[in-house]
Amino acid sequence: MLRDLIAFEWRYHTRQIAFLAGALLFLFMGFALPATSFGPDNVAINSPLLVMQSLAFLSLISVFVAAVFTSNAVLRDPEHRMQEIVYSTPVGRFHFLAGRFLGAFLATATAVAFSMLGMVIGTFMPWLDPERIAPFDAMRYLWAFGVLSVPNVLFATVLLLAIAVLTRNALATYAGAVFIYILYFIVAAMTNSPLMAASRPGAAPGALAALLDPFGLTAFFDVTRYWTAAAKSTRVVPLEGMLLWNRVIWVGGAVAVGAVVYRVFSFRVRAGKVKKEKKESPSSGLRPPSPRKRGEGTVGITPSAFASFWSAARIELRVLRSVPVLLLLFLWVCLATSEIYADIASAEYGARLIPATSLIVERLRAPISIIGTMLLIYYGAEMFWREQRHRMAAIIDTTPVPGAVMIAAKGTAMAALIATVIATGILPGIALQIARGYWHFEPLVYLSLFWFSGFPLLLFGAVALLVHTLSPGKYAGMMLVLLVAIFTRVAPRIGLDHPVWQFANAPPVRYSDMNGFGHDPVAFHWAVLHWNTLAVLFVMIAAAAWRRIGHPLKERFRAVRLAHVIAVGVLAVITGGWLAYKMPAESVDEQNAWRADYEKTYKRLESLPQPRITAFTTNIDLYPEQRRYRVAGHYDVVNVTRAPIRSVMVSVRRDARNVAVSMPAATPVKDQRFNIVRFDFARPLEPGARTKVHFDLSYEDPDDDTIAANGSFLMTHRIFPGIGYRASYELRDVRERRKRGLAGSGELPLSEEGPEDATATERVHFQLTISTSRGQTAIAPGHLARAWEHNGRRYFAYKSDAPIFNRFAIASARYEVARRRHRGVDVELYYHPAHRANVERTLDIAVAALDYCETNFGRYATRQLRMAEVPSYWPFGAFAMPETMFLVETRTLLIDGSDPDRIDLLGRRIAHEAAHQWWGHILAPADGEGATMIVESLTKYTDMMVLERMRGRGEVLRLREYELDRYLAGRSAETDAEPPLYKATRQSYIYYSKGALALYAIRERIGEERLNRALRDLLAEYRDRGGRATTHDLLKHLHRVAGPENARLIDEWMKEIVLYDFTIASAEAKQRADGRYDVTIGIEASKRYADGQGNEKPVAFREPVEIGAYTRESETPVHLASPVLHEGRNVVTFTLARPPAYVSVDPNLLHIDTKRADNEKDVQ
Amino acid sequence: MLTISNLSKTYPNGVRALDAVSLKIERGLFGLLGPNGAGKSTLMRTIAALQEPDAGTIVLDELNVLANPQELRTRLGYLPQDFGVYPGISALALLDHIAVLKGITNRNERREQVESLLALTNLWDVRKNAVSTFSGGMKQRFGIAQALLGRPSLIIVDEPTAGLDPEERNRFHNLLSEIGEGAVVLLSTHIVEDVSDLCPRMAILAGGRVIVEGEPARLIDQLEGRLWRKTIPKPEVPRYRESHRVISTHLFAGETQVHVLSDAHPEAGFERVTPDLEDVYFSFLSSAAAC
Repeated sequence: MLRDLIAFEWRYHTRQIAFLAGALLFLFMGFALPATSFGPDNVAINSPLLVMQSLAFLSLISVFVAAVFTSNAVLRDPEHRMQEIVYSTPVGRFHFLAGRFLGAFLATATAVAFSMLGMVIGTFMPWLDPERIAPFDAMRYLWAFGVLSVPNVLFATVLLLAIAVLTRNALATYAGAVFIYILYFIVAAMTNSPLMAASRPGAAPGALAALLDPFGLTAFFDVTRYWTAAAKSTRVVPLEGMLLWNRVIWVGGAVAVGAVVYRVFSFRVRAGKVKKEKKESPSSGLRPPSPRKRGEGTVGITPSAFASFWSAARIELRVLRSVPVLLLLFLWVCLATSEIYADIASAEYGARLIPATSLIVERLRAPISIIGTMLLIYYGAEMFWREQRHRMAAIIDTTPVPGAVMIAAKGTAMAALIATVIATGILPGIALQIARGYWHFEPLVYLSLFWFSGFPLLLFGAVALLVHTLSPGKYAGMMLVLLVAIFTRVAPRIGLDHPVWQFANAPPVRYSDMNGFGHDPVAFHWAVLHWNTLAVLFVMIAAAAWRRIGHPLKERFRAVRLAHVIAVGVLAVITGGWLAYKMPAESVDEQNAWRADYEKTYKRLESLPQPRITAFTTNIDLYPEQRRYRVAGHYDVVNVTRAPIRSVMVSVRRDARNVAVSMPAATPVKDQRFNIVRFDFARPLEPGARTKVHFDLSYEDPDDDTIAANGSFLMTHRIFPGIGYRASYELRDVRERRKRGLAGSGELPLSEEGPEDATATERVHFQLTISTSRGQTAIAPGHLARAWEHNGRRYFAYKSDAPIFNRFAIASARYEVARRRHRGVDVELYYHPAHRANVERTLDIAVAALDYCETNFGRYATRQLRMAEVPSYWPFGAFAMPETMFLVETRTLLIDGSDPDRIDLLGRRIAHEAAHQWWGHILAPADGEGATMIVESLTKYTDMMVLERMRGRGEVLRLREYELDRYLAGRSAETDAEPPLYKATRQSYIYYSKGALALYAIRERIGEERLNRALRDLLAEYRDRGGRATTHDLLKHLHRVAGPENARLIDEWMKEIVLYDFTIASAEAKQRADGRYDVTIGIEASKRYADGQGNEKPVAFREPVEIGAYTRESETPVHLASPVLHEGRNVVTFTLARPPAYVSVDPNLLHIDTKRADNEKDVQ
Repeated sequence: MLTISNLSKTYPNGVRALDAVSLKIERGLFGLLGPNGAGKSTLMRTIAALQEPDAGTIVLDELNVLANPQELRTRLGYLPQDFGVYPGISALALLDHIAVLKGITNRNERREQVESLLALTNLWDVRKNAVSTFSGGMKQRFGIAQALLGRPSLIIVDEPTAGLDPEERNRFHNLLSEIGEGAVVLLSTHIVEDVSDLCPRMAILAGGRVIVEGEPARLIDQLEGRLWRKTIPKPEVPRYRESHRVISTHLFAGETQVHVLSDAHPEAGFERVTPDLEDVYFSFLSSAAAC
């Protein structure tokens, strides 16, 4: 019997248009992932890991399909009024539920299975890199499907079926689906999942999050977190650890929910309370309103669109007061809370931020968009089909109410829903502010969400209305709207750049305390104007072709006024054309082609002798309000080579306007495409001879954030003309280079000798005069020779004390300033007036860093160290330039440092940037491999030393625990080969994280004094000799101070990839006869060498490793020793007066331990 | 007056629902009788501008209905054969909403109409209860109340008494008879008593065609003296069908009665009966089936 029931269900589901739509959706999505080369470059697109990851992502969509199928499976009885017939048949509870469940489950699982077919087809696409395709293996698809998709679909179907069966309410069922998503998002917010945009360093998913994620994604990432390329390409993701437990929990949860439904369900038709009629009303016997007499016309009938609209809208708005919607809003508030909390209460390194309104609004933007879209997909369908569903359509459609009124009413309800979501999302933000005693609410910034996030959602609602108008049914319409939502989000990734394809997926309008909304609203409004025209068109069609029952689509379309459609259509084409005109002239592909062509054309000239800039005199006129600026002045250049120079290449950024470049006694030859002027000298420039390059150029409304009404930040090497070949134009992406016939990564290999020519980082003298608006202060390096006002503008003349790199930055904003004089250096902080809280502390830290560096490494270069705040949209935490540090407001001055238990992020960051004055500016490395290690790792070491003095060892240990995680996760995400530390290039997980671990470990072994001596010697050797130090020099000095006994340790850290794993297998304490305790610890140890791909080779070893014993009360060990451990099982014994609470191997993190979680154990 | 000329409609699946239907309908109640599938609902829905015919015209008091559906809707009251309501909304609120949609925008006028209709349909005491909780009869009365909003000049009621108990049906008949004075009221039904009780004029629709139109009394007169009845054993029915013009067979107290149409006394055992509208209905249906 069950078989027949299931067979019937199967037939029923698979003949629904919704099933077809769902299957196609998954086929397409499955196809799109491999066909767009999903995943890292060095992992096969059909590797077991990527197959599982793809199916895991698609699981997110499967809930949507499951919601449609389950509500169809259960609610079709009441909806089509089959309930009485079905429920009165003798079919048993079990058979009924099992049949309905299996039908929905099989249909959903089958639809999801189509994604595997799509994925297989996708791997055969001819444009894919053949190196990334592994031989076909059906098992990896089935394994991933079985481990992830099936349990996910199972849980989703059971939960939704439960809700549908128990409430018999479609809205409640959708609420259940959204609940599953919200659960996932909350987990994602807790764990820094790849699906949520911002990635915070150092937040490994906790066990709770991995278990709570109903999709198993978090657990999946937990299991594969440290996998290297080699493992990713070949290993099958095992069902173990967190993943296994996650699956057990959710399958168990499904069974439990199923059992509850089985117990609770009964075949009772929910009867409405039938009202008993009371006696005749006193007013009965009234005559009915008499019909109109012939020719009387329609007296009293004055159809009013507005009155009808208002009445209908009120009916629609009632839905917002229904229980499922209220429940959903509650869940949404939970999600918003965790989103806001995750970033503001626990930012990078677990630090806490001051809850400024701008920060809260930034955090709400993405979730509002996602949740709003989801609600529109579900409730849009529910709203649109309400008349049909409740069989009111015949009555409504025989009234003279125009379709436009009904559409308007439904649109209003959508708007109200969106507004409610935004308003309720803001609530936890305000609550957090109040809880933390932050009273500066900025209501206008909150309100802006309604426009910048809300209006695009409303436009999306217009699409939903049109799609449902054209759709043959509710569920098919829902699928189509989902498809539109997905399409508009992936369009830019598949090369559809024009905003029309990203309909209603508006460009973000960022808000910063300093610059407000800046110029983002301009782009937003142009896009929205275009979309709005289209939305008007959609709504017009939807209104005219309103779904009156009995009228097929063709008939309804006759009501569409062609003239109106054409009129609005023309407007849409005009606005779309304007956008196409305004868009960057080049797609990413064209830009890459340009870069490749530049390299092909000019690379051969790289070695051509070119003169060197020795000084420049430049005026920069900033017009922040008009977003334009002018750069005019000259370079003094000299031929430092031994050969005569015949021509000079001067290149200017392509978006510069009114460019005038000239050199005396030289003929300009222009290359328009690359914006290069070649000056051919009449008489060659002899060695030692000097000349000048004059330039004058402007930038107007540039495509970037450089010039802003308040908070301009310009890097001179980006806006000044350059001389000679510009390596910065080269393509960096290895895959793109290969595609365009360019070899290698473009990185200079590390050489023992160091570079012969270090012109790239030579230093210059300068005189810089910056003018800006009244009320703004312009910041630059050098000493402020003069400041004055003229014609309502402010002028600042800066002059170099000592030559600096020709790579520096200037800033201009309405700053307040705080100053401190220390050791003859003026330490200045220019800050946004509202950001007063951390000003003194910032100066304290800068001074502390200055002290440490001058004491240990050498004197500071000049007499000023300036810090200036820049707006929050800059994609760095802080940026150190010569004599200047630029601090991003939200990541520095808005850090809340009041909690002593949290890592002092502000201290770490300011100390770090101050240390860069030594490592990077006083000592400049040679370009190429290892340069970032010198610049960043040494700085990282310095900031840890400064922090350790201020906050103690425990804080730096916690900091390095983050670094260990970042290193292991970073090498796992490496798309090329992992280099050893001394050859680091652009791998932040190496130069920051491994560098920090390595230098701290070396310091612990050889002592801080010896390490600092090595660094001081290195600095002295190369002080102010730009661009010459390499990691070989660093190694030389390290070995010299450390002596031969530590040579191996240093080389292993610097030149190898060495991994350890220590595990405490047992820890026991036994009381001795003398009353003291023998502590015996069993330790498993292993050491491996890894290659760049992550292939590991175990090696034998005998090395001292710290073992500590601790009590609960203190972080300071009661016992710490370094016995020599070897590979395999070790037993360590020591004697203590009292038994310790727990013991730890390598407690100070002096080794890279791939599994640090098992390094501690409670003592038995 | 409602004039329907040559209305035809064939559905995409080939069913010919209306076949050149022509009717002239004056003010008052007009009964439209016919078996299931005769095309009654198609005709009603077409007149109510819920669907378009393939051919033909409909004119209501000089208004071309097919060309001006929106204008028609301002004059129309429609009680669908089968309707539902938004859940959880009271009779008062829902009537008010529909009144607004129908264009009664004057608040006083609207309140007056809504309240008098609630009283008329005897729903006054339950006006604050959700319509979705109403019993079948109450819901049907709500249906007629909403149809009467806006003083329509054309009222269409499609199978309004199906499923009502005798008392409710009686009450409903009284309601219909009261409203049938100034407007064209088109009552579609397959229950003969509805028509005989209420309608001065009627038509019978079968197979998409009008097979007869007229006043019920006149049509009954045509059968006067020609209708005979006999109680026979059930197995004999086929034999009687062959030799006589049997218009209907009934079970009466467990035995089979045949009604036969004949100008003369057919044979022994037949007794003359006084015809009623039901006999008219069956006689026309059987003759329509015969040709």
